Amino acid sequence: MTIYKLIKDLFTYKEPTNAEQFELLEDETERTDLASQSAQDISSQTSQGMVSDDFRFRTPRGKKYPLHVDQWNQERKQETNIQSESTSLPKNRISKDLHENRRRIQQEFNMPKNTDIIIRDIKIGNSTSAFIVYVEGMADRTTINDNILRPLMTADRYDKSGDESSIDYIVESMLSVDNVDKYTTYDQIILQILSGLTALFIEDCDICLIIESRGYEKRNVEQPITESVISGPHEGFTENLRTNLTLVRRIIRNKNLITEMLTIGKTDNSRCGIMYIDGIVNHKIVDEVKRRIQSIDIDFVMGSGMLDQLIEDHPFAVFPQILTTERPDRTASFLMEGKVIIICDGTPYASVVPVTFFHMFHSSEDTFMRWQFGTFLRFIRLLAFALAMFLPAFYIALTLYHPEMVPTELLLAIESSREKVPFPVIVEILLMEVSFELLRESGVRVPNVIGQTIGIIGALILGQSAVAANLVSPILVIIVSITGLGNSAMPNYNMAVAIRILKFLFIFLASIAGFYGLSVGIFIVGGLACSMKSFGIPYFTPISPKTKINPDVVIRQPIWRQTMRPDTTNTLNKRRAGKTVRGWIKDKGGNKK
Amino acid sequence: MIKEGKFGVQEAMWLCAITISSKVFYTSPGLVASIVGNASWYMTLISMTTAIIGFTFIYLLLKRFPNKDIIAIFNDTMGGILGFVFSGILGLYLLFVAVSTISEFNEVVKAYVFPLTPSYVIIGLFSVGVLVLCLLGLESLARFAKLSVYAMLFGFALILLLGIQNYDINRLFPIFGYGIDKVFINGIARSSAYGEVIILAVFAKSLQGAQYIKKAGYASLIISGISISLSLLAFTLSFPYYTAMEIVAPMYQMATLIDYGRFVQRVEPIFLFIWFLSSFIAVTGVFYCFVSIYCKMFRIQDMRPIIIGSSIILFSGSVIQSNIGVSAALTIQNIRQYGWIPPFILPLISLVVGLIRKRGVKSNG
Amino acid sequence: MDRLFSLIVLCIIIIAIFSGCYDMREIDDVSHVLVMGIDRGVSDKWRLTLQFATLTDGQGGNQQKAEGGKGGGNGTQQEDYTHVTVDAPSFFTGMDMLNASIPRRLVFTHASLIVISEELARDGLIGDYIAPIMRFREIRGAAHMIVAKGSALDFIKANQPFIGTTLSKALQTAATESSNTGYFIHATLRDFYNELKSSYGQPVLTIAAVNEFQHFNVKGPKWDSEFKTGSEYLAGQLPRQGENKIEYWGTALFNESKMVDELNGLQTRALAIIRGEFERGFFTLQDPKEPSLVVPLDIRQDRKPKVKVNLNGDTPTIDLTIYLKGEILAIQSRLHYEQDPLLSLLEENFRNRIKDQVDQLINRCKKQNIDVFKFGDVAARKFWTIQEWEEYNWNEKFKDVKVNTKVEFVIKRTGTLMKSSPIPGTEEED
Repeated sequence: MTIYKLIKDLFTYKEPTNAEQFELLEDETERTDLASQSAQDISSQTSQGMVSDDFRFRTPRGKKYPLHVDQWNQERKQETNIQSESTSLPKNRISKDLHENRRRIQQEFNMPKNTDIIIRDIKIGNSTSAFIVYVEGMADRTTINDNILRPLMTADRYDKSGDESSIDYIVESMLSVDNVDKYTTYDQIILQILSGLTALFIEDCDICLIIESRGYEKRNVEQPITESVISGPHEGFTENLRTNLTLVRRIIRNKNLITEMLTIGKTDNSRCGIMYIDGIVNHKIVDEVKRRIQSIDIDFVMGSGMLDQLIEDHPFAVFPQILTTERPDRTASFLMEGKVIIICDGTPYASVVPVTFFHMFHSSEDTFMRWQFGTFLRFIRLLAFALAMFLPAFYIALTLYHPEMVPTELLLAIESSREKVPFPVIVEILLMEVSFELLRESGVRVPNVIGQTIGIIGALILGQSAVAANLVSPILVIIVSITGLGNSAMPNYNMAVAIRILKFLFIFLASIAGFYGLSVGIFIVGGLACSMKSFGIPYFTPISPKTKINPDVVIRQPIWRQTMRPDTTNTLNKRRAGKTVRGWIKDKGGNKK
Repeated sequence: MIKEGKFGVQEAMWLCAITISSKVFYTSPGLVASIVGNASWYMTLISMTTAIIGFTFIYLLLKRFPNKDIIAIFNDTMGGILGFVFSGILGLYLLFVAVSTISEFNEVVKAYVFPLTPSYVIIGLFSVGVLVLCLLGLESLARFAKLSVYAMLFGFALILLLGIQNYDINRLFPIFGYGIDKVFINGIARSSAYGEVIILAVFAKSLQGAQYIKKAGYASLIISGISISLSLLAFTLSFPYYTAMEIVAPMYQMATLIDYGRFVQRVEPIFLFIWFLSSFIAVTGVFYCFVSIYCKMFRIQDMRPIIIGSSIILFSGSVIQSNIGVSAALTIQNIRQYGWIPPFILPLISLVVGLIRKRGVKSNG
Repeated sequence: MDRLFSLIVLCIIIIAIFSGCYDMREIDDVSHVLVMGIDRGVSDKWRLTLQFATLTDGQGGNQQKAEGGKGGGNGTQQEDYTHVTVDAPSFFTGMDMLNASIPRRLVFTHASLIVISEELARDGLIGDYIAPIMRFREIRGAAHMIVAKGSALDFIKANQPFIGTTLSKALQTAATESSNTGYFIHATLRDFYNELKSSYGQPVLTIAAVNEFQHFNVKGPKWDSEFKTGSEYLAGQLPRQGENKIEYWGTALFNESKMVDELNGLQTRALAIIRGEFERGFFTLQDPKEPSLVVPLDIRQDRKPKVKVNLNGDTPTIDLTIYLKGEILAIQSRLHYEQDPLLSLLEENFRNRIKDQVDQLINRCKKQNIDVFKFGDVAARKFWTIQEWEEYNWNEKFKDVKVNTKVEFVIKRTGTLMKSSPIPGTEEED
């Protein structure tokens, strides 16, 4: 029925659904505003990094002067607090009665069915009843024992009036924990408890103290698995959101680096952080990212992979429109280009938006190595891209439709090597390609210890014996192996998978009509790719449409020539370096060049 | 109104240049050689100059009516009915160009590469490509043109450079071919080869302002003029005039003659990619403009159903044209000689009428 | 977007159903013809001979041996390359007739050599034959074309690789060998076709022959001190013996499509020098002082010859300047030819010899009224339009042309020896 519906849809007319398309266009008014804005010298604001003297920090009119991050967080919290107070139903508010609170908590957490929640009754200063709630395993036991329970229980000076001042006294003088907040509604408190904090309820007090005590098991920072490099840092993200944010913040020590937290899953309450550098990023992109993420109505988001699928522009396109990276250093460099980073709890990846096709071929190594090497590596990767995508199809087209192009000796060699192969070329190549894909897939699934062996030896043995059994001709094994190698050279895994799929499309087209079919395929796939946008940025910027090129697209020019940020994202601050990056180079007159 | 997207000068320029210069891969160089002999390479420069003059009128017209495309301008200057007729002629002209390009493409492909494949398969695949890219919109097409132009220019330069071994400077002489008068007359008449520049006027609104159209138009004319001239020059240098006129697709034939040692020979299938891709872009550009004109004439808001329908017309038109035989194909070639009338004369008339009727913005008086 | 997606999928499926892969030919369903030979037929007008690889690899595809595997110990006595011949009314009918007996489709895209029998060429039938096959898409303009003495069939029979196992490689290298010797001219089908129809000049082709080694005299009186340049043989008459009966030697001159003359090796060199196609060759020069000894020279073209055409007056005059440079390879007489005045003497001697040869050749061609020197190309510059040029009719005027030849020749190097000191005892010091 669905096929029937599809065909019916094709041939019946439907009003075009006016899907809201976000497009990042140059905004003339914004431009003029920028120009008239009184500029502030950022060198007084930034602690390090930005050295140039004409590095101007511009903010659009009407935007508040950016606050320090924790100030800003505080403000936000206050806002939410006030808001929740004014709007929340009385039922949702915690009561002054400790027993009432305890009963409510037990009810909310389905106790005693739910055994993970621990409620510990205590007496503060031997007199005031209180209890703490935490999730076993999520909270750090040492913190609770040493820094919460001990000071509370051993306190001798505590007046149990239960008013604001006594709470403040607890916060200010008793709890030796770095972060303590006050909450009054159950919803928020439960959310906090679930994230591993400890809640302290006190008798005769309608304020609950949420004490930082997160200490769950997490993986250590390790080498990135999918994006290993030779030169450059060797640390990768982990599954922990906090750690990941820290890893990035450790690289960009700038107060304008903003982290905004959003909750996505309706049931699992998972969070994601949006990072950007205020003053560089174009706020339209930030708004768009926030708009998309906030609008998501789904019960459960596991991590960046899922989130990416929910917010990408073209779900039907093959090419990835969001770049995921495992490397904090790469993330940081994207931030400095004015991109927005989305980091989700649960996966060791950061998603970068907006990106272009060319970003998929960049690797952090390019920047760390000298520009000649970096450029060379990029050309190799582009070659790898072409090989992985087109080589099998090219071989098919050549042997079936255009044998005149093969050198005569090679042609005769192929001919005689195919003498005993019973299959047509197309079956032969599909056989090899499919078994290669199988190998690749099993190489991932097989336990790590023997995974390596499966990959290499399997390919060798399979190829060799397929040839020996006259299933395929030897040249085909070479073709398929080179294709596989080319695919592995892609720095971006998503792109590599896209290429693997498209490869089969091109094989198919080449077997239909040789180079003609291949050209039609290139035309259609190319056209589709050109129509794509990643968060308002056309996929092939800055080549097509042409924008001002930062010399770091395919050819990576020397770093001191990359004085401008990529124009594609319309960053607020265009310059990334001064006119003379290398201040020590002087011309003959002694002036700086 | 119809959403055609926005794109920059560069994209428009390359789209237009590819559309114009994709012709060199077909039979027209051979045809030109049979008319003017070995003088074709500068004859096309005369055509280009004529086309530039013609385009100046188009530009003046567009400048007079800023933020309007040629259909709206026709409507404005010539009145409802006559403007409708003008737009109709222009649209039919573009459809004719698209159809005859495809069928010519089909002929050449069948002659050299796929002799057994029936026309409807070749044309069918072609139409599918055109259909998809049209549905994606002009913006995507222009971007694809810009993106692929690097590969095309590289391949084009490679063919010309590798062909050097077959060049013989003496083949340029006698320099005036079959007579300088013939060169001039045909040069002017053959400005129809550059008539596709009119597509800039059709999607004028996608370019921000007349000065961009001016830039894109002149640049694309000059680029395509130079590239056509270069390829004609290369082909004149490779083949003496008496055999040049016999060849169906001289550029392809030139590529077959490349022979450096045992490896770099028979490389012409690589050349097919440039040829195919540029043909796809050219036909899609022209065909899209036809649909666009049609929709604007009848004030149809949603282009998509029209595109699907028209692509069937495109397909069947091309199949019919390639089935009616060689003699009819020659007739069509002859008709194409008068192809300069719709793109250059209609805007000129419109401009003159507009001036008389004092329509549009006064030119900064 | 999903509509577009399903539309694309639908279109591709439809196309796939209707496409049927018409032009697809499995690589092992075809046989690639490497050499085509054309003779006059007996049972029908033409006799068509095709040579192709038999792909007798023996052990199957898993052997890394590329092809042929000559004598790979498999016991089969089949040759690596075989040929078939048919008498047919036309090339294409012949092709189909052959396909009846050959289990694979014949494909000509890799045919790199076209052999035409001398008989056919002398009868002027090439024009009838060449013009039609140029139209066929599989025939490549870049294929080399030669005239075979005797029959093309015999030539193809003898055409077997004897170094290495690959015929195609052998064909290619043999064809490009002309640049190292100048004993034959590299001519392709396209060149021939162009010159055939040309108003500028006349075509030439390489001559090849099967040498039956009859001119190699095993016994007889030993050679005396008489001087011979070593190049003045006709094709098929070289005194040699051993493997490979095939030799490319000399040039066939055509008037339109009729072969009218045959040049020997030395004359072919002169032709190549005039046409500017001579790249390099070893010349043996008689020692000017000691006539019984020789001075071999390595001669290269310094730059392309300069041709000036003057059409004023009744007969056209042509000023031809040839630029050559040389290197001494050996001095048998051990005379001091490395420096003046003997050096100038050597140069002068050589200059005169080349001029003689060139003049002789030009006169020979003038008698036949064939411009094979591409003088017409230069003459065409004097005209404004093609009509004027064709009216002038260069091909008819050529017999009256007056050519002034000038040879520029310098010896630039003396090889690895700066001078040769005498061998003590055999001769006394000067």
